[in-house]
Amino acid sequence: MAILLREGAFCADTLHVVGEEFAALLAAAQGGSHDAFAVLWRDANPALLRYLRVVASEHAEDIAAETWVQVVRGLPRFTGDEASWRAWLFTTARRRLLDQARLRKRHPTEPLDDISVSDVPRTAGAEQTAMDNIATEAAMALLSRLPEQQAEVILLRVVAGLDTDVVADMLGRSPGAVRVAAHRGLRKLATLLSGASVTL
Amino acid sequence: MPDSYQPLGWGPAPFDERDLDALLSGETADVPMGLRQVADALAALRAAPTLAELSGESTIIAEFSALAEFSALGLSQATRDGGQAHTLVLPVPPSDVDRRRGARHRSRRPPHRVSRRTGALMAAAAAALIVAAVAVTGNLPGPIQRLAHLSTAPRAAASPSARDSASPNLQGKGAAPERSPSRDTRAPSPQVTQQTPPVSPGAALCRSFYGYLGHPGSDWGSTLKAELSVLMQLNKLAGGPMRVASYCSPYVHDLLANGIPLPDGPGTHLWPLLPDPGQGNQGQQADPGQPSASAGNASPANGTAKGNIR
Repeated sequence: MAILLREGAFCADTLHVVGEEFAALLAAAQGGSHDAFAVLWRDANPALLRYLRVVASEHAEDIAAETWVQVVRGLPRFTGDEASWRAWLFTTARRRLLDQARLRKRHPTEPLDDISVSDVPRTAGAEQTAMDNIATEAAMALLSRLPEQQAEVILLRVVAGLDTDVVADMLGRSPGAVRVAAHRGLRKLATLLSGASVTL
Repeated sequence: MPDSYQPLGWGPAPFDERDLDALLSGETADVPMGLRQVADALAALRAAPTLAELSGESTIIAEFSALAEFSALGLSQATRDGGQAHTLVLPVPPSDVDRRRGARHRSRRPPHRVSRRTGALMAAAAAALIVAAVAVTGNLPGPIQRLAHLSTAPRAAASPSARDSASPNLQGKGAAPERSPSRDTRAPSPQVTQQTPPVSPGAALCRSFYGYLGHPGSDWGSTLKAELSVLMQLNKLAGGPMRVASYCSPYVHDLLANGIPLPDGPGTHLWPLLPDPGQGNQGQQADPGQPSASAGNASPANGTAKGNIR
């Protein structure tokens, strides 16, 4: 099954990332189709990794892998639309993140190496890709400078594409508190960017 | 002061909460000047995936394939048996057991007085079996093992081969559940491991139950309820709680290699409530090839991860 993601799709627009094909994709994946599941994975994994790399830094890859294992096991029982699918995915990731944090407190380990910018093949058009990668990395580094809750709220709203109510449920806060945190984070980003003259 | 009178470079141009909400929603058409750079940063966060972010696909697809094959094997085995589905015994989280029993078995259960009495007798019998058998193998926690030592005669030490053989023999295709409960309790998932299929559903249940007795694991308390459910199914298959032992004896000799020596004679071994294999007297037992009609009441873990995750 060859289903392409809509080009230029914004993750914030959760209704239309995979689009109308989501229901068919989900049904096929639940029926055991590797291709369908691969599309779902390719759609959501970059956003998941970016979220985790800001909130979990060096443990992002491990947590993402554990999250997907849980998702695969629970996939036959999942019901819902694409927005619900993303909410479930990021909720699972957040739980794994909290579990890992508790485990690390009991059993401290050495941190992994810093994640570097991806190795882009040296072909025509690679320059733009490299620039995009650098911009993404720079944006994540900027977000890391925010207070943890503000960064997490912005990531869940922007990268994960979840709405305020869903984010509030995940974080155990009220929708108003989530909105305030997001606004404060954006204002601080504006201050950081105007003061540091950072170019993205 | 109007925005246009602000000196250049004197901080970001004013913006309000509506502008911030629009940014969060991805609406960048009318972004104020003061938020342009923030909009660019958010757009970079939403940029196309990199190669590194797509590099783990093969690993997760392998995991997906493995689970898909397990599910497919479980279905195909039932069809090969001419539509007679084997009982798939899966570990049930303790919090779900009572709720599920109430919903599924209410109409089939005998009147409350009989079922409660039977359940109490079986629970007491199971507890006695577990205490006696596990005390032999030394896998009980300290306090319960001390109680078992007080109540049983001197016994032979469980051989390492018996312990080692217990765990592999617990694994059966579509039959024996894993012993450790799932950590992620929100979305319980069936855990099935594979090996050669048992001859009948009763054999799988026997091996599961007596395997648990011989090797309950450190979390034996959390799986005890599940094993009692298995015992109830064996009770139906065998035709009564006192016939379970003789019903299972053909299937579980290798799980409890040494058994429990009788107090009145060294060298006399008796399986937990099983007839002495040396005497050739299998006692009254149901035909292993003909499971009872009421068998197969175990249900797979069936939590539904709804879209609105809380």
